Amino acid sequence: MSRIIRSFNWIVVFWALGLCGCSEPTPSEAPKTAEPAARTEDGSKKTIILSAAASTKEVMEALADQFKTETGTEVKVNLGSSNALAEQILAGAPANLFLSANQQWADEIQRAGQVEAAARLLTNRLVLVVPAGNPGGVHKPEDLLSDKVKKIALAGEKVPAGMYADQSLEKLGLLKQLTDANKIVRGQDVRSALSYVERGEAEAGIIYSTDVGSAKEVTVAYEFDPKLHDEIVYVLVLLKHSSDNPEGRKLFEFLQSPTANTVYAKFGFSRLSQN
Amino acid sequence: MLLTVAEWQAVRLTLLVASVAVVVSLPPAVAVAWLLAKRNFPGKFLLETIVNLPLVLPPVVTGYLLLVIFGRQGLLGGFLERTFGLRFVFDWKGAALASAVVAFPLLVRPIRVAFSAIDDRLVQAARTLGAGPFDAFCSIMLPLARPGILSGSLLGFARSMGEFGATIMIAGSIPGETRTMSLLIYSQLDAPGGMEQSVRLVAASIIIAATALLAGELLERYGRRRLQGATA
Repeated sequence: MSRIIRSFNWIVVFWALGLCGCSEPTPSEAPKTAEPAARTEDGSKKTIILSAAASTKEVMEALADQFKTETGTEVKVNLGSSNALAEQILAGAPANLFLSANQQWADEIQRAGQVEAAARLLTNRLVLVVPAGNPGGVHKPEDLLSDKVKKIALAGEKVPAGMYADQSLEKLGLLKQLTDANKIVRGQDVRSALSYVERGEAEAGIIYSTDVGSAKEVTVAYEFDPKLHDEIVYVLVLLKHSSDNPEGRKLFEFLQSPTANTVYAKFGFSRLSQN
Repeated sequence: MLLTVAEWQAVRLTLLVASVAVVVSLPPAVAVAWLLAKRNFPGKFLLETIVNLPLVLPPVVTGYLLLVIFGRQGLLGGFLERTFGLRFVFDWKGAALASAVVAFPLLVRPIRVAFSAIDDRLVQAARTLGAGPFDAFCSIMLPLARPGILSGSLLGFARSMGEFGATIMIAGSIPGETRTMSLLIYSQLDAPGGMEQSVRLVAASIIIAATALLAGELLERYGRRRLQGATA
């Protein structure tokens, strides 16, 4: 009897181990079981998927609501870092539109031949933020070198926000020293970096000016000169396999319309002219 | 060069974190295992549940709870940092803590099984010969439980190596400091072309984990053969 109980113990252990081994939820996993691109049938539910950079969470959700009210089509906003979203699309994720926070990841999709149409949509500004009370005493980028600043939160090396931040720090001659001193903490996307600052785990962080509103008590210490980094360009891409879905193109047009412009301005984004 | 610099860094860090996690959790694990194996007390099932909780909790929930306790604004974190300079978030010690917590149930279980198998009369005999309780524990129970302790340690080590969810939440992914092999593979996969890049690390992880398990298995069998007759 005790032997049965003992082997039962091991079965429970391995079963529990198996449970733990189950996939960790990755925050930016595309909804793989999402409905395929909606067809315009009578009475059927119409849905399109927009993969958007994490920094556009509030503005895209607001626009999605507006689009639904106007056309009845539901827009599922899939948020994540632009590089992760690009990877998902290249791997076949069923997105209809992709809003990338830089040109590079949109070009990557273009190279794979999946782009139906693209438009330079928005721009943003890069800022240095600090948590409540500014424990690191940071007022300008050079202050990041002081001993009071132990950790600086940036988005990942391949995330647009992280790339713009790296470029700025490099141009200011600070990047190498900060990296060597192990001060840089990488968040999965720009909002993750923001959360490190909000929790006080990092004494400073570099994010977009539009992100500041989403965290309580995080304040802007410094705004980076746009010349220090590549022009911040949000590119809106209409993906090829949605060309048979007219709703996708409608959303593509809608996001560039004057109605949308007022929403962008409300959230602090500026529209870019087409080049 | 088989692996890149960043990859070697990750391997060394992973081995460090896993070793520290096991070494630090071993004494409490032995104590708890002994308690569960040899003593009955009210609320024993509660202790059992708490010990086994990290096994079934989603690792990100474990990470969340660790943050609540050891984060800078958490219950203990601010105090520990101000008083002892002990920092867990964004520090390799946080990675070791996360690994220790998730490996703890795996350490306890085989040691408990080993302790329960030891005949109490051996300890009683030692006591009649004049040994104090602690002496009897160290000279009789520990050596006899050695296969279980070794097997638990290796299992805990292998689990620590694979820990991801709790680690990324509390320690972040800082190259050289907290970017263990699992975290490095994950971050490499996050960009196009990452799958090919990660092959080497994935192979290294499999080899290390398999070696640890194999060693545990062999050590346990060898130890068991030597101890035939001393256990019930």
